[in-house]
Amino acid sequence: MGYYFPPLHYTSGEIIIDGRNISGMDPDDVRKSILGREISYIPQAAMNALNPTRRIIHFIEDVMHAHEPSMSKKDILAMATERFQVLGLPPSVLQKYPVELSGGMKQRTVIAISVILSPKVLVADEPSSALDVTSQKMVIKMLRDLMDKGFIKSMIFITHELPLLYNVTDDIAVMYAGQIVEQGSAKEAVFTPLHPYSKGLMGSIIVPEEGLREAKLTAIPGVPPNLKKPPSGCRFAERCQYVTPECRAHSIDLRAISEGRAYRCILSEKQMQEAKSHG
Amino acid sequence: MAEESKQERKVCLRGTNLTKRFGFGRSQMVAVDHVDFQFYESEIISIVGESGSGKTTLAKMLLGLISSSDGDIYFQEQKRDIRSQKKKKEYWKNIQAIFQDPFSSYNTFIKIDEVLLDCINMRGGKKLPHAKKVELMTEACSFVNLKFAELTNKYPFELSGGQMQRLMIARIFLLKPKILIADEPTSMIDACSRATILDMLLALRKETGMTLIFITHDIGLAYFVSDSVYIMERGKFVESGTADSVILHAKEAYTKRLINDVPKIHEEWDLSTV
Ligand SMILES: Nc1ncnc2c1ncn2[C@@H]1O[C@H](COP(=O)(O)OP(=O)(O)OP(=O)(O)O)[C@@H](O)[C@H]1O
Ligand code: SF4
Ligand SMILES: [Mg+2]
Repeated sequence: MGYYFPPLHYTSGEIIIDGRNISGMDPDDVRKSILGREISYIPQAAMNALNPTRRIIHFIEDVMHAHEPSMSKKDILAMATERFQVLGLPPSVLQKYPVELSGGMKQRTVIAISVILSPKVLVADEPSSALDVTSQKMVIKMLRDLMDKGFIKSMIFITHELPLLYNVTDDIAVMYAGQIVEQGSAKEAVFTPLHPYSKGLMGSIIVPEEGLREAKLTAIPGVPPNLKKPPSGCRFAERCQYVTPECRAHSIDLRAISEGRAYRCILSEKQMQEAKSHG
Repeated sequence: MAEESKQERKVCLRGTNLTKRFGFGRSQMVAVDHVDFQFYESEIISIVGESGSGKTTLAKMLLGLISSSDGDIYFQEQKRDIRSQKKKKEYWKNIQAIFQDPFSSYNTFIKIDEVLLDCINMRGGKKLPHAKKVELMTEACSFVNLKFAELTNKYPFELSGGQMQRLMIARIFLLKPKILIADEPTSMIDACSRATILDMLLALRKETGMTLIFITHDIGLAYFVSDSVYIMERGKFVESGTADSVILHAKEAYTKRLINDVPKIHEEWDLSTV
């Protein structure tokens, strides 16, 4: 998402939203006609980004003016009131300053504002990580409502909280050291992971369910590689229990094994099991 | 746990009526409200509650970083006395903490060697020959999978969050306190690193027999690691007991809600209840 912001530029590749390639577009045009309408982004810790000296409704007016200059303040208020109501936020929030809201309420307000133009795609970066469980649940419920009520068409949810991801998304892509190492449905990724890194991740889930206390957590030794000089072969090789010399010889491709299911490892599922049983 | 064996265990830290008020008059608030507890030697305890429930305030009182407004703390069945600086230092040999944000825990201008040397000195190793000190520091670092040789002459801010978290555990390895309080030690790191940190803390507890107090709002973590769980709501302990009894057979509505609000893997997560 750094694409839109001056400090970050993409070096190669394309971004296509709903069949439209936005990669070559002028950044100003992107800001005007793509951001907010086609795609919207909630950065990590977004709730702290609200201007403390402005009421919520004034913030919304600013957003609307940038995109719909002809809309009157009265119409904006009516629209925002309705939208907040539908999303379960008391419209009184609109007249408040950010400091008057709790963390969870602030975060839901930021989300409501960022989808006010009903973008096709919402990218949410750790939208609930700083919140306690109850506020987190309210945020998730709201994101799901956005989908159900058709305010957004799709959502990309970025997090390291697997149980959360499992309960929110249809599909999961696991990233390691800048690459996607596994793709599948949420169920497949959580219950039958293929890549050794995802296996480790899934083995470290802690949820308060019966049987958890008997489970042994998987801890993956070591740390991710320095991406200034990424290793030439498999980027997970340093930490992988199945590593062979071949893994380090050349870069590993993401291998599709069925519709929507892929992983980045030279071993087949069968080979992994055999490697393990040989110790 | 059966009553008999509970009686054999020695109480390590006990609190009666422990209370902390902040502010005066109308703006006064009770952050910790008359709590009672006993923590045993070698026990693993979790204190669970939502944001603002008073967990960190309680931890700071236990550590003697802030005074209590009411109530008493007993350490090894003696009423705690930390009125002089000397007695405070003596107390801190027995009780230590690691906090949520590893970056705020170190003085930025002290090199890592010094951080670790301080621990050795605190344990009475000031007069040890230099080679012996290096040996101790090397051992502590390798316990947490850090290489001491790579850390000498570095400053804490040159480390990653995960490395810094492990350096904190290396400190505890050298200090060998009787009690360690871990306030949200894993909330800033991903699940895999969390498992590593937990493994290290549990290994350290096994080796030293220390009492380990986790402070967290992660009820899954509490269930996974603890012998006993205390549930804190607005300054009060509303439910406590063995991990199984509190988490699998919760009695209080508040505890049930906390458990219900955590996303699950094997059970349906009911979103209709918010
Ligand atoms: N120094 C202080 N002065 C005034 N109020 C304080 C002070 N420290 C804490 N409080 C208040 O006491 C209450 C409990 O705070 P505490 O930090 O103990 O909560 P916590 O359970 O640790 O929360 P979290 O999960 O967010 O860390 C809060 O309402 C907080 O605002
Ligand atoms: S390619 Fe080799 S090193 Fe990489 S994940 Fe697969 S087995 Fe492990
Ligand atoms: Mg706290």
